[in-house]
Amino acid sequence: MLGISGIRRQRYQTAAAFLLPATIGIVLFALLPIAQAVRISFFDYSLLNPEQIPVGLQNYEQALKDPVFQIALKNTLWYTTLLVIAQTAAALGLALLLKQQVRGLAFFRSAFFIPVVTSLVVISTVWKLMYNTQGIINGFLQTASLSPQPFLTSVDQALLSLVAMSVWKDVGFYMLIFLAGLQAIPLELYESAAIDGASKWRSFSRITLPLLRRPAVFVTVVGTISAFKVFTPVYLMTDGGPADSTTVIVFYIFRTAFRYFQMGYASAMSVVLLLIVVAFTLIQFRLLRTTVDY
Amino acid sequence: MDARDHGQAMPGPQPRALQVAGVSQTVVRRAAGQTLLYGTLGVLAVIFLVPYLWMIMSSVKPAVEIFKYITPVSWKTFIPETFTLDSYRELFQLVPFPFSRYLLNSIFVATTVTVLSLIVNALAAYAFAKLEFPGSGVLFGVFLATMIVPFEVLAIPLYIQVRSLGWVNTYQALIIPWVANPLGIFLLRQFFQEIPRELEEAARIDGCSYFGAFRRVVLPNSIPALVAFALIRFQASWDAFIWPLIAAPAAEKRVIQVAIASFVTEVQTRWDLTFAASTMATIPIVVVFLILQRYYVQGVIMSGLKG
Repeated sequence: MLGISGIRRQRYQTAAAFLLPATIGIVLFALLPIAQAVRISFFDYSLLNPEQIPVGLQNYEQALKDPVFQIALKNTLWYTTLLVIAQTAAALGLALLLKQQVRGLAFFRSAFFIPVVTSLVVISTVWKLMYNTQGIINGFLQTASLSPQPFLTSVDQALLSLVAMSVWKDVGFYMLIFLAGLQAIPLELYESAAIDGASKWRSFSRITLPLLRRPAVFVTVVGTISAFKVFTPVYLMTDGGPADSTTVIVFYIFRTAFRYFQMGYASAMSVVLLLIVVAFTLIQFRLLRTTVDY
Repeated sequence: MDARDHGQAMPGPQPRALQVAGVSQTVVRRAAGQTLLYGTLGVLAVIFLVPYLWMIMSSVKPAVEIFKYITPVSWKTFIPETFTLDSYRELFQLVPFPFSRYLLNSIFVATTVTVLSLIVNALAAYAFAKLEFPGSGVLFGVFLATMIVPFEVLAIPLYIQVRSLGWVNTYQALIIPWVANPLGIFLLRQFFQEIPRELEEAARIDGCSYFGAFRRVVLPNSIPALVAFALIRFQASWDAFIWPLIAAPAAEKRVIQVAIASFVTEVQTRWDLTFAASTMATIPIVVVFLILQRYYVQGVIMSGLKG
C-alpha cells in the first residue's frame, strides 16, 4: 500500500508527465523566441551574413528616425481606429437585429458568420478581384449610374477599402459575442421597465447598453489588438502601396526581415509592436476586472 | 422593440402597450416594423453572400466570360453562359505540382496539428484541473502570459530557430511549433474542472491509473469542449498564412493558402484558376462549420467571453 506521501508523489509524477509535452512546446516555441526577439533587436544581424554585431539601441534609434516606420505606425493607427469603430457598431447592430425573434435566425446568423470561417487569403484574393476596376463592385456602382472608383489603386481609397473588407470578414465573430451578452441579460429587467412605462429607447440606453459593457470591452480590445497585427490583406491586395499608403507595421516588419533580411532592425520593430499589444491587453484586464452584477 | 418582444414571448402578464393601444394601430406598426426588419436582413444577407456566389459561379465559367458581363450587373454576371469545369481540370494538371498536392499538404498539416494538439493540451489541462501540485498557479500563469504575445512578433526568431534546426521547407516546421496551445489548455481546464470529482474517484477506486481515469472518465465527458477546440485548431491551421509563407515556401511543401497567394502574386493572374482554387479552399471548411456550428459557436463564445 502507498502511504500519503507516496500517493502525493505519484500524483506529482503524473502531473509532471502530463505537462511535459506542452511545457517543452511552450518553452521552445514561445518563451525562447520571445527572449530571442528582444536579444536580436540589439544586434545588427542579417540573414545573408551570419555575423551578429552588437549595436546597443541603434535599431530602436533607427525606428524613431525611419520615415517609413512612422508612416506604417500612422497607417496602422488609422486602420485600427476606423476598423474598430465600424466593426463594433456593425456587430452591435447585427446582434440587436437578430435579437428580434427573427424567423430564419439560423440562416442569417450563418450568413453573417461564414466570412469568419473563410480564410483571410481567400477573402483577400476574392475582394482584390471585386475591387478591380472591372470588378463586381464597380459593376454594381455603374449599374446604379454611379461613377466607378479606383479603390485599391488610389492613395486615398486603398486603406479604406481594406477597412471595409475587414469589417465584412470579422463582424460575424463580434456579433456572436454581443448576442451572447444580450442573451445573458435577464428578461425580468425589461419586463419591469415596461411595467414602469419606460420607452424602448430608455430601456435600451438604461438596461441594454450598460449591461453590454463586458462584451463591448472585449470586442473593442480584441478588435484593436487583431487590427494592429493586420498583414495578409496588405500583402496580397496592395503590397503596401500605392506609395506606402497601406504599409502597416507587421507588413513593414515582414518586408524588412524577409525581403531586406535586416533581422535586427525588424526585431526592434517587433518589440515595439509587442509593447503596444501588451499595453492594450493590460488595459483589457483592468477594464474587465470590475464586473457589473445583475 | 426589445422590451415588448420579450414580453410577448413570455407566458406571463401581457405588457400594457398591447391592451391600451388600439389593436389595428399596433398591427399596422408591427407590420411596418417587420417589413423594415426583414428588408434590412435581406440586404445584409446579399452583401454577405454575393462574394461567395461570384467566386463559385466564376469558377465554373470559361476564363473569357468572367469579366464579360460585370456591367450592368444582371443574372449573366453570376450564372454561366457556358458551364465548364476546365479551371478545376487545369488546376489538377498544374506543373510542377498539381493543386491536389497543396490540398493534401494542407489536409495533412491541419489534421496532424489538430490531433497532436488535442492530446498534448488535454493532458496538460487535466494536470492543471485535477492534479494538485506545487507551483501549478505560477506555471499556468506563465502559459497564459504567452498568449498575449502575437505570433507576428515571434515570426523572426522562430524562423531563425527553425532554420538552425534545418527545418525550412519541412512538415515539422509547419506542425511542431503549433502543437502546444495555451488557449486550448485554458479552455479544456475550465471544462475539466466542472466534471464531478466523485466520477473520477470512483474510477480510481476501481483500479484505474490517473491516465485511465483521464481516458475513461474525463475525456468522454468533455466531448463538446474537445470538438470545439478541435474545430478552432483545425481552422487556425488551415487558414495559417504568414508562417507557412516564411517557413515552407517551396512548391513541394506549399500549403493551400500559400499556393492561392502565389496565383495572385507570382503567376500572371489567372482569374479562372484563382476562383477555382479559392472555392476549393473554402467549401470544405464552410460545410464542416455549418454541420458542427453548435460546437463552434460555443467554442468561440468560450474563448471570447472567458478569455
